[in-house]
Amino acid sequence: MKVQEAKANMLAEGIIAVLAAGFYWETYHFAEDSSLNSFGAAFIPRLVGALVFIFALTLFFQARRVWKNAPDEERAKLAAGKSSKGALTRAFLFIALMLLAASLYEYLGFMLTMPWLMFGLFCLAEKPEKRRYGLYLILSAVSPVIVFFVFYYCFSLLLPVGVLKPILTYL
Amino acid sequence: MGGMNIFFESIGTLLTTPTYLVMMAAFTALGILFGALPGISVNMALILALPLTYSMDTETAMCVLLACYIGAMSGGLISAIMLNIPGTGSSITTTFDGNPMARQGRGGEAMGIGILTSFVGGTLSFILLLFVAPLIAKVALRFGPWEYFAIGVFSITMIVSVSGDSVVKGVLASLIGMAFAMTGADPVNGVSRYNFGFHALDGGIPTTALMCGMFAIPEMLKLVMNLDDTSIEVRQMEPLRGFGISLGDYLRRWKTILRAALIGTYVGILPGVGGSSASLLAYLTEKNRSKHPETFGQGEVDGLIASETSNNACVGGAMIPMLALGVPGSSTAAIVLSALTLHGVQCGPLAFSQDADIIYLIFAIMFVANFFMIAIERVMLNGYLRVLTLPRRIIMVMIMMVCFVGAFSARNNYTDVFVFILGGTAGFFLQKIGIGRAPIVMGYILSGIIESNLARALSISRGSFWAISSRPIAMAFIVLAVFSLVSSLYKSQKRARAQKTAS
Repeated sequence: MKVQEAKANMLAEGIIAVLAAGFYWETYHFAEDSSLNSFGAAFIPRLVGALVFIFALTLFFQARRVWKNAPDEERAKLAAGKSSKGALTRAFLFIALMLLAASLYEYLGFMLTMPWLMFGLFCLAEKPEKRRYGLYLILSAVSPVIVFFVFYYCFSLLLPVGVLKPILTYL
Repeated sequence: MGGMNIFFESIGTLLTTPTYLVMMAAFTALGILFGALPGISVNMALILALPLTYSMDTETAMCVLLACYIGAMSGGLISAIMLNIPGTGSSITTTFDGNPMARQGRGGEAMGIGILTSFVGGTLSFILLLFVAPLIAKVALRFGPWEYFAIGVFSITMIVSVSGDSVVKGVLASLIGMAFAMTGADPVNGVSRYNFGFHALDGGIPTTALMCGMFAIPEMLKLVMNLDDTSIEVRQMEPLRGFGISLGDYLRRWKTILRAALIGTYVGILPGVGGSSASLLAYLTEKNRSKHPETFGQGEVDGLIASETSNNACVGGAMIPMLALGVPGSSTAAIVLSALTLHGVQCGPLAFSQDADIIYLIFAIMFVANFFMIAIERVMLNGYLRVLTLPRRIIMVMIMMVCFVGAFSARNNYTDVFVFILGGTAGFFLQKIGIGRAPIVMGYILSGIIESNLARALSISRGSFWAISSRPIAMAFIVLAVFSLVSSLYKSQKRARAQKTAS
């Protein structure tokens, strides 16, 4: 395991262990009627929660050992490293854009959500100097309309219409 | 009516119903396209086809999904031969000899042989499926909850043992998959679990949305983070006549073909072991048996035949446990199984007697779709090569749009779109730390089988775990599960020690 990998693993396995503990703890809040069955609804979740916790902790300590045994200068270099900052920002923007689209999906509908989401994704997936805004604009504007009508007419599936309901009810 | 009669009747129905024919042709073509595009897996092809089937009747939906599956399994060879980039994981070994053939100016010949042998491998495995699956189903009728519980546990340990370098990470991945499946009402008492006040989660985490996220979002995130989408230069292919090989020449290699088909089908049956392992095993077997092993990797036709026959034979193999036992053999089979369940098809031993029409229709679709695959792939070869030059980012953004539709439309629920995004993001970060998607998906699907059967078994045995010792088949699977886990642990320890010594 490389030092950088160990650092990421430590963080991730730590989070997984905490979530597993929460997963286990939540089983005490199940509205369970013990008279229903000797094998309760909490049995497997508790087993899974406990095992995930144990395995995540094992991997956490494995990664911690690698991190601790690494030379000091390598750890300092990693701690100060900003090489992946741009990539992380783009990943964060991607997730934020997707969540925003999901939040507005019901209100805006498919045809008004997809164009800006697609345009945003096209831009995020390309280096700024190589972006072809014209092409992205055309693709983002045209393809959701085509997909909407293909689903409606070919597969009898009406995608969310949102605020365009008054117009699209004429379909 | 006998199974074979239903099978031939189903073939007749398929060939005389224009809707089925059109759908199979269209989705085989689409499947080949997705298989050919590097970075778009067979799983993703299926997930993209799924939303299109929501409003279809069961039979048409099955035509769409299975044709797409068969097309995608074969499509990987196009980019493997012409770009030296395997379109799917199972066509990695196709690059070993297919690409050297293309570099020697024999790209057309390699393509022709690849397409022909994909067809032959698929057909041989479907014939085996037709005969073996009903036999297994007959035996499985005697299985009780302990046996199903043991098969579920065995399947998980098999996936863990082949899922990567670290066994602990494999186990953790399948447990995380099981944890995802715990949301919603428990399968025995109906007690609500982990819904955190969201009634949309009462029915559990939506499978389609989770699968869409798990397979599409990590690919898009990788693209966004690395920005490495360089345009691909496709090698020129010389004109191809027929399949690039004479029938006599091809049939002279019958031993290679048969061996590869049997290896592919056998490996396909094993839980968790997919097309990539099958093609590697068949390729190495052929190389070891060859009188000229030094020609392998230099454009050897036998190597190409072994690889492509076995990875397509894997499709039939993976369908055997899925149809006969209701237990998927791979993450792709798990997606097919959940898609069929969504359309009301219940796989398992009882289906062979209660829903024989549907089961034999599945066999017939796979058989007919294989003919569509050979015809379409051969005729549209140049078109597919042209599509390969499209920038991946454009294709991926289009895929995200279709996934949005897929995640939402399965239940017409807006919460499912959040599940798609958050599940996919979690999948990406888990993948980043070496926790694979395949064991997560398998853990998620097998969780229900394990939990409900264990509960049923314990309630029959009045809470005694030792009752399993009186069930020899269940015990055999448990012993196999322990053995596979211990042996993979031993192997990983050995590997780690060897690495330590080397460093």
